[in-house]
Amino acid sequence: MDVAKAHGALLREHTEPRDGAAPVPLWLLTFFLALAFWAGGYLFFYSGGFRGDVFNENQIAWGYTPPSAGKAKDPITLGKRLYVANCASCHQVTGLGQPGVYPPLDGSHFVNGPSSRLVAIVLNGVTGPLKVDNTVFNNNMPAWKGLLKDEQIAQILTYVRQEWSNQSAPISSESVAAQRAKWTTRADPLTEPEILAIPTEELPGAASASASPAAPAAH
Amino acid sequence: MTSFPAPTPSAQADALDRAAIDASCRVPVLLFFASANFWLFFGSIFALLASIKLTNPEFLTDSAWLTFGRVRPAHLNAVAYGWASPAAIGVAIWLMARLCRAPLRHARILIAAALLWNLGVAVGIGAILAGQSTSVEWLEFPSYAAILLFIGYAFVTVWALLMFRERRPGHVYVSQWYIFGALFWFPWLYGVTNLMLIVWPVQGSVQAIINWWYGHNVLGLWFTPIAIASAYYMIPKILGKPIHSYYLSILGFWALALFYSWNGGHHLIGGPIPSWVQSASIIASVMMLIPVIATAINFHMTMVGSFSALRTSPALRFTVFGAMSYTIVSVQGSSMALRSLNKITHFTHYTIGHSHLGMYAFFTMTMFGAMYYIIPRLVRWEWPSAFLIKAHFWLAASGIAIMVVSLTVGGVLQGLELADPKIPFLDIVVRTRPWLHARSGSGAFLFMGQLAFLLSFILILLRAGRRREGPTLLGDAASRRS
Repeated sequence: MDVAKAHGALLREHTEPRDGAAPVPLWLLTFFLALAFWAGGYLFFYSGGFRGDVFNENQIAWGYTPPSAGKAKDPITLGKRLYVANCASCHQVTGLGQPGVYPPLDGSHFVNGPSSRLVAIVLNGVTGPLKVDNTVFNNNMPAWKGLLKDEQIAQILTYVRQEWSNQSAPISSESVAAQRAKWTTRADPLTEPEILAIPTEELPGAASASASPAAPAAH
Repeated sequence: MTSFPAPTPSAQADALDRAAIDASCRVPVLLFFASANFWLFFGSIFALLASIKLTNPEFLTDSAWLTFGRVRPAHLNAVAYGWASPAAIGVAIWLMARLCRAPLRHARILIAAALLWNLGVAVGIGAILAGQSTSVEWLEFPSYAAILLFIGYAFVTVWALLMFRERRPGHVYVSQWYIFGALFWFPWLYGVTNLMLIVWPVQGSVQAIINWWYGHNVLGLWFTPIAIASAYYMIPKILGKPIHSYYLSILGFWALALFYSWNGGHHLIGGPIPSWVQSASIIASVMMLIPVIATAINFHMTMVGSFSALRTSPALRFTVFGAMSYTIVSVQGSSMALRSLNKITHFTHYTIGHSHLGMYAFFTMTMFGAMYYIIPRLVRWEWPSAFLIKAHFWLAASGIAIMVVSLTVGGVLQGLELADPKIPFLDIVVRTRPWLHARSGSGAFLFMGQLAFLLSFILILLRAGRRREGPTLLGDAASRRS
């Protein structure tokens, strides 16, 4: 190829680009350093301690935090979860049970009555006829003392006693533990006469449950 | 101005070398440019349909293929993978060959890449319109289309490595750093995100983090580096000056590489992802000021004293428009990442204005500038009509200005109203209508400008008109550089 045939655009082109050697201005470096300082400060205040469970950027979460901190337990939330998993297949999410088969919990005088009897029912289960709100149910409820811990039973019962139209006091895990101690040797489910024979005391600690149900969990 | 010593071979030998390089690039580069323009045409039609549907929801609802949920991703994918990527690849190929100072070899790899890539785009757009979108933003192509894109792209990267090995020894210019960075970053991004979101999806909010890691990096680590590489070549080349500072180039490149990958999380501010991810991405977004200011100073100081060349050279005018837009869009992007401003602008049209400022005013205008420079050299024919170029520039510049201003103002008003719980949501939606009408109108400007470019492109490929001796310049020929 000779020069004459080369395209005019190529002939009038400048050589390929080169680099100049001007230094980076000092004011620019100063500005970049200031940015880096700002970034460090921002990271300190808004990084949530680089924790995967901090979603509020205003929470200063640096340093050691006890494992349980920030996980305040709301018995209502936990109780509802446990209720749905363990109880709702019979008593239903509505707490109304199934007419003629499973007794309702909503408005039930066993639920809202003496907590000693309520805890005993859940720990040991029930067999045979049981009269709830003027209807007699004849069915079996399993014992839960081998399946649920004191804390879980307390959460379920606190939930049940404050859900729907129920407005009774919460039940603490200490009172469940105390009640469980009384029934350790009992193997069979309770019958209605046995339930009604239980003293109608409010269990100790029932009124001072670990958390107020109105307070939402603080995260 | 001090500068590194320039090699001074004879001008004629130099011109002959360049002629041989350009001849070797002709087929693959024009193939990528032609397909880019093809998809730009259809991508813009999808854009106009989607924009009209926002103000007139009853428009074209009879066919499921043309509903908003399909037309809008069809627009995004057609312009991102149909237009922007092939345009970027074409520019990158030519710049690589020119800067390696060696004729392009292994053209067949590139032709295969172009065919695979465009097949992938066609299959992907068809799948979106047929309702098979993955519904992951920016990755709507189903995996059977994405794999074609991935393989096609891998060919380009392999070609670039082979080309680089055959370069003439000497200095590696800044444009090549950016091109190499982009050619490795993109397949990494595209491969990883497709595997983690489409093929073996991860669970929970990690999906969103990966989604936006990709969504932002495809802009910052693929389109942006190629456009910057192009500006780093075009501005000193057309002006015949060295680039202002090698040290600023280094600072700009490595700061971009360091900070950009962290930016994606700022799309999720206020979302259910850990605070530190959001804060880290906010910091990285603000730290983007470092590469942006370094690059802006480098371009500006190179331009100083030569701004009059913008009156005549089409390539320079488009490129400098793009480079200035890069500074504006990046500073805006840094500010939008701050929580206090993000609270207002997030989920409003402001973000759409920002993305078009980036993808059109910066990237697309820079690509037009590069094409105005490259194509006459490949075809060995000057642009047939200065009028068409002027029409293209003014329609594009005014169109994108109207679009960005209307979406920005409308978006801020929308954001302020959304923050006020007393205003009913539907009232806010209705009050965005004038701004959306302005967006449709400005889109029509852009479309007409692109038609002018398409016409120029077809005419120059046909070598239409009289043979021109000099360059096609826009104003009085104060300078004879094109």
